[in-house]
Amino acid sequence: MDNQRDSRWVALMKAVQAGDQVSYATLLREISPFLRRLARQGWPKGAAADIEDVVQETLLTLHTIRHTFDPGRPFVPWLLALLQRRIVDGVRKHARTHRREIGMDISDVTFSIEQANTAYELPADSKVLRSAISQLPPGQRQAIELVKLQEMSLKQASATTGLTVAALKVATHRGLKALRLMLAIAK
Amino acid sequence: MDTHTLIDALVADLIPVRRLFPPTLRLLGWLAVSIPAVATVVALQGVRSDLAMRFAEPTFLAEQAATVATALVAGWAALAGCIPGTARWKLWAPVAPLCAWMVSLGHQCWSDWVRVGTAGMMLRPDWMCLPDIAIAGAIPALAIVIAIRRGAGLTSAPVLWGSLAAAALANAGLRLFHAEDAALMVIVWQFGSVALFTAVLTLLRRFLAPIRELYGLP
Repeated sequence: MDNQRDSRWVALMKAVQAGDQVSYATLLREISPFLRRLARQGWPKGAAADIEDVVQETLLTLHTIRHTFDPGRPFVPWLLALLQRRIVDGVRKHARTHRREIGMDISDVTFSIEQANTAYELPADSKVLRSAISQLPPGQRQAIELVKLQEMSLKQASATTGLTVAALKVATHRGLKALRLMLAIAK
Repeated sequence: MDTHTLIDALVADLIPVRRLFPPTLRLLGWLAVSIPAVATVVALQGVRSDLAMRFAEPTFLAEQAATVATALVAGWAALAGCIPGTARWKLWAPVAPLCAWMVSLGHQCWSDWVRVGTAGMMLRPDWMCLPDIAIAGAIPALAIVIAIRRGAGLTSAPVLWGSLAAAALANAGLRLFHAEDAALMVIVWQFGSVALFTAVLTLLRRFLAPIRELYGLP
């Protein structure tokens, strides 16, 4: 059974090296569950997402080094060497990440005390601020409205305006600088 | 990214590839480049005058045979190690000729001690061994690094064995033009240079033949 499967994969891999896309799709779809099962065995404590990452990294590695496969030799040991390497990398990456990051539960109440010191801050005069924004050049005004007032991410604002993220960053920075100056003069 | 989407992307990106030749054939290719390179250095330096006499000595022949065997087996192991799933014994194979080389040097050292006592254990500076080995080994090392980079690049063992192969071949060439036969001198300066050359290239392995790291999936 295993021999038959290996022979089949060897034949598919041979066709893949020749550039046959149909064989490649068949091969990758057939080996994915096989890799997933072995990755789970090799990394029992790995989360489902980590296991899927290992499977995908193995497929990417297979794609990059497919020229190193010799059709005169079995396919599974070749594939397992890639998988083993990617499991080791995955475990290392996981350990590295967990050394630096702390998992936190999302909770409704974040602080037991009153938030920050907003109670002591003077309420901003929204009318003055709105008037100052309206006096900004169109590009800066649009950037401030989208990024600061509507709280869009730079990426979203870039998609909305068609401007690059860098251009938006510059416009926002200049807009804020101009606003600071205008509000200082108004005071 | 979903695995099915990744598979579709990989399938769309597929182009025919030229299969890697078997390690033995690749080794022959490496030798075809490296032997003329080392031979040129030997010819430029001039063959030592007592070479014919030295070739009549079994100890010299045994040492040279072990050195060349180390170069061949290490070169072959370096190229075999480029293929994922290579049997583990192949990656350890160079240890045998390397040990034979060290034993032959040790044996010569012991013979010197028995024959001439402390006079045979004199150590003096011979700094030319290192640049000679570096010059003779440069092209073999470059050739094997290029060959290793064509491989899978999943482990660093090929760079270690490839460097040793280049250094051993260079040392075999060095013995043909460098007239230094005191065993201790050979061990310290020539074998030491081989070890240093191998160590330096192995330490630079990340630059010479970077290991294919994780791709960082989006």
